[in-house]
Amino acid sequence: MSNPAVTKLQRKKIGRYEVWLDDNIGERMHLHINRFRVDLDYPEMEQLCSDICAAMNELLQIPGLDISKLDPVFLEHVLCTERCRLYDLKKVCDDEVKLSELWVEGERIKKLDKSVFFKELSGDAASIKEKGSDHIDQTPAERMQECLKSVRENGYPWNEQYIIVYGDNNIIKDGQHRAACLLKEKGDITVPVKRYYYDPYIPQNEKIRSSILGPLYMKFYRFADKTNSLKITLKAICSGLRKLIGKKNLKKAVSAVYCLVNKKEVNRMRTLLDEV
Amino acid sequence: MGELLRNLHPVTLGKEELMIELNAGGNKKTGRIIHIQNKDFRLEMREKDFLRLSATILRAKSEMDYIKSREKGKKYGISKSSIAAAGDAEENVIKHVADILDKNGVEYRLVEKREGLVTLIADPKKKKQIRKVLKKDRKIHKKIHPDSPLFGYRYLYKMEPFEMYRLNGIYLQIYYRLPCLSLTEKTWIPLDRAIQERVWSCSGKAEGYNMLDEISLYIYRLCKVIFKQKTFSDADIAFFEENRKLKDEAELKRLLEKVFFSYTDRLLSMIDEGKYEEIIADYLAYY
Repeated sequence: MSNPAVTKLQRKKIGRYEVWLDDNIGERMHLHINRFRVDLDYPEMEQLCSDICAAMNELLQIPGLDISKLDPVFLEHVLCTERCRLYDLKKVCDDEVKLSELWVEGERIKKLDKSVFFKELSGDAASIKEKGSDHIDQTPAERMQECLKSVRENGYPWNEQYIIVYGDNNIIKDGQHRAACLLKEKGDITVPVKRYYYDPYIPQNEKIRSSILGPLYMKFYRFADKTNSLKITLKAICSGLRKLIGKKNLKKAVSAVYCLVNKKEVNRMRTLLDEV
Repeated sequence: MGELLRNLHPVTLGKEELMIELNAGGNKKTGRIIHIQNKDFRLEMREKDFLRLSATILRAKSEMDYIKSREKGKKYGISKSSIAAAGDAEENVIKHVADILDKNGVEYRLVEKREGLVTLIADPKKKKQIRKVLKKDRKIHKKIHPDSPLFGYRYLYKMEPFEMYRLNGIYLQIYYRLPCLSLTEKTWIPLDRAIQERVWSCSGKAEGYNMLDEISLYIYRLCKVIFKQKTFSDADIAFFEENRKLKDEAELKRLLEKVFFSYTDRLLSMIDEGKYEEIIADYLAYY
């Protein structure tokens, strides 16, 4: 049976396992590990998450760290993007910092009140498009507004989710939006933060990024990234054309080009089909 | 394999209770190993992979919570229909195409007609023959469908892509299976096999051509409103109000359950109460 209401929540290759989770409205959630599938309803999923957090805490045994209090987006970033850095985490300490003393990472490391997050809240045209969003179908602007709403309604820290900084420096690793909203709403107050002490202490790339070579490094990094995506796009176009022409399906290729040229007609058909 | 170091925590999957165990690996390279197991089942992975798997599950739950909380209380509204009724030109196109298909022994049903656009569903087994006979007719010109794979659309479950033709200024859209747009972007899937079978086992003949039976049409229209339009128009509401009597038919409920699963009863009761404005958000927030 095919369910049209399937939303892919996560999909990843983890070791030798292909893992994905979908929400199937009207059915249960599906957790796939390769060809093996587990169906879970919402309470079962909640129970699974709570069991997993307990198991992770027991496995890591890091003083001061409670996985269930971490933002899952940040946790996933640390484990999947930052090369599993939780292994190097030695301890988590509570501290208090004035908002004006916090820094935000970006192309350059900036003070919180000079960051794109704070500028966006102050109505500055500075765009936070590049910062992306946390959730499916969420725009960066929506993310900012939802964060502001949460700070207004629930205060800080909500659900024991603190701003996170690494080591003794004040560069925010998680909670840039929250910090900007707090600065906007309450001014330069002192807020509780969590300090993550790693071994070795300096996180990946941070030394070079905070040095005088930082902007140059970031420019090179972005250029390399762009070139890579251009390469991928060109590769896709070439392989598409090769597929079409290789199969002696030249007619299809010609009609595709015709369609692109005849945009008006395609648009007319699209309007007809989308009419409500 | 591996020596048990310690039990981390029990985990419940459905009705099964499993234990998450930390084991010493076979050699230095593998590192420590996690077993998620009970006496009948074991899933083995590296410690690092277990942490990543856990983070992925927690992230998925947070995505789910976000989607549901966003949809809760959202109002999709009711739009004013801008569709004009089909006229003589559309009728002539239907008759012309129906005539061609009848002559060639091809089964078809009319799904929709409106100003400028006629939609038919035709027998998928005779796809090649249909293309051939329509191509032979000099008045009919094949077009590239805007939902074609060339524009990035995907058709799952071996569904045949839609086709578009043009005849006397009217577009003719041909489905080979009754479709439904998925919540996954640019993805079409066929409605359940039981619905497809009903399309061909029942038909209503009117004005000289075969029409889709009313239950199949009801389901198709409901799916279109919820998944594609994401809004009820006044024309849609008029249609569902006209077909109120169908709501109590066991066959409709049986087939709707193939699409909406456990939400079906709630959906039918909301239609009965006329809560059209709330249906889409309520469905998307349902779990």
